[in-house]
Amino acid sequence: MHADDTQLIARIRGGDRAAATTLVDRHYAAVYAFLRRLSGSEADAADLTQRAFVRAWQAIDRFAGRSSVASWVHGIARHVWLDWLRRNHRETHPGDAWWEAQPDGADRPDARVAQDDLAAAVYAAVDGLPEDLRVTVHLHYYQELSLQETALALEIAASTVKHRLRAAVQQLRSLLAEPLSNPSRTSHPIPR
Amino acid sequence: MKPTDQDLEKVLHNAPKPAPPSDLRGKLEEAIPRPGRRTPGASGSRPGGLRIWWPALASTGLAVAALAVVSTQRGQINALKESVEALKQEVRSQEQAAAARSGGSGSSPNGSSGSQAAQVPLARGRAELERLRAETGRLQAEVARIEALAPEAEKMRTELGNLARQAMPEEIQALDEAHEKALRIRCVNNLKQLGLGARIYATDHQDVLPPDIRSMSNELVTPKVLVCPADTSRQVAESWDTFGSANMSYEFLAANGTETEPQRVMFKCPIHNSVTLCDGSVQQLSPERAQRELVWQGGKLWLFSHGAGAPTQPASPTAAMDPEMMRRYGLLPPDDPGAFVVNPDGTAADPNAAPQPRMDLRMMQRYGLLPPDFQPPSEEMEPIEEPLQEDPR
Repeated sequence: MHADDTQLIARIRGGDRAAATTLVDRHYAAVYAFLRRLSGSEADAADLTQRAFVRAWQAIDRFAGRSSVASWVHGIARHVWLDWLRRNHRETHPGDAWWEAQPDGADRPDARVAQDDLAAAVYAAVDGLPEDLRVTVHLHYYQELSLQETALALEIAASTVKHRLRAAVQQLRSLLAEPLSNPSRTSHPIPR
Repeated sequence: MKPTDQDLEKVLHNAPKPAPPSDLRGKLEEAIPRPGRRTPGASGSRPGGLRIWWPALASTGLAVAALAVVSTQRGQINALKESVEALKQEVRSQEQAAAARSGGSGSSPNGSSGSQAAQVPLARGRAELERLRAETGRLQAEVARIEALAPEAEKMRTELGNLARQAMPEEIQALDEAHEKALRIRCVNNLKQLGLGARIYATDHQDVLPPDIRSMSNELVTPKVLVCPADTSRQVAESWDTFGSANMSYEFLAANGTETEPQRVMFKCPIHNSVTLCDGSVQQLSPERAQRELVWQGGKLWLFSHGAGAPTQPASPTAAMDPEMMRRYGLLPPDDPGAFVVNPDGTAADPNAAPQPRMDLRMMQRYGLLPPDFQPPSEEMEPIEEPLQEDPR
């Protein structure tokens, strides 16, 4: 949490638009990435990000400061995504091709092919996890929230977050054990 | 190659981060509410209490008004009834007066009106008397009817007693079995609560199970769950301050254990043979199944169900011995029934502890502690292999 997040929130409550812009700059990319991975669509993710921030402005007076701003904003984004999911009765995933197309900020020498294969398989397998485990993995690993922040965003206990992460890793390991030993992995997509 | 947890966590931490569209930031900035113009639905523009609660207040007010109208009408109806009664009384008294006049005793009109006033309470008293007589007659008839039923009730009570005494052995057995089943279910429930408490303790203590029962007292609702309902020799502790070995039926066999040994037995009921495993599950075992599938290895009791995960090496000769038998033959210290100082392979579990007396195979065979078909491996006793180590992963 930024040291001046509390002052930032106080300024926003006082009508300071510059403070609101600073808060947007700090968090909108992370919120977009979170919603992009969950929704599977660039346009939907942008729309959901806007909805999340609108809802954040509406709820800014109720922010008690018990959690970090990042945790609070991610919690709102998760609720926005769940509402959207229920309204549309659909669940989409980015898919293997999307994950493989994402730049990882590093060179791609031949020696990293195996690592890339593993990464693509892991990301696809995460999309196949049950919703509670998947969102927990997204928040803790992808969004780099701490255990406590993840717990506050999901409104659950930190011990439950630990339990879910352990269960998720175990499921991923069992899901990946068979496909990795099979060279034709891509022809057998991981069940969702 | 199977990826390790570290590999998976590294990959997950390094997940690519999709970049937002270039125009998204501008849209978000536009959506920031202007000072003095609150976003619809913001707390500042939320409707006041009256606006929120008016539907409830309106319906409540309506109900109160209806109640007031109903009570007023009820009062009016009561007043009308009373006036009707008064009119009836008046008519009745006038009729009685007319009848008295027609019976004419030659009294003057003034005397006639005085006797008429005196006859009204008299007539009321007679009517009341008649009503009481009728009621008395009805009650006497009721008493007579009840008295007539008394012999029949006594006869039925006698028949019921005879039936209870003449119950078939099968019925008595079925009742006993149902009672036993209920006790077993309550025992399993106790074991489930104990397993759950131990796992909650482990969650808060680096995944290590408690060293003893008292340590997990905060995770147990009541000491009642420590006593098997079928165990009549143990008393439930009134509180944790007075808790002792006489207040616990179950054997705690996984002190300081970890949840990475799911088949290890954590709690065992010596009466029902039910066990709680380190993964929290509870298994009900028949005596035969307990004898066959519960195996002591490395000072720990394991459940090997249906051959799954069964030890690859021959089980220790002491594997099938229960703790009571091992204690009896010096394989357990007498003062600490829950802890093993001698492993089934004969080595001391605690290197600092003095070696305890143990029986060799010949002695065990002599005392009938080995299966009849057991063959000693050779003349020279070979050391028994190391116990099977569970893979923590």
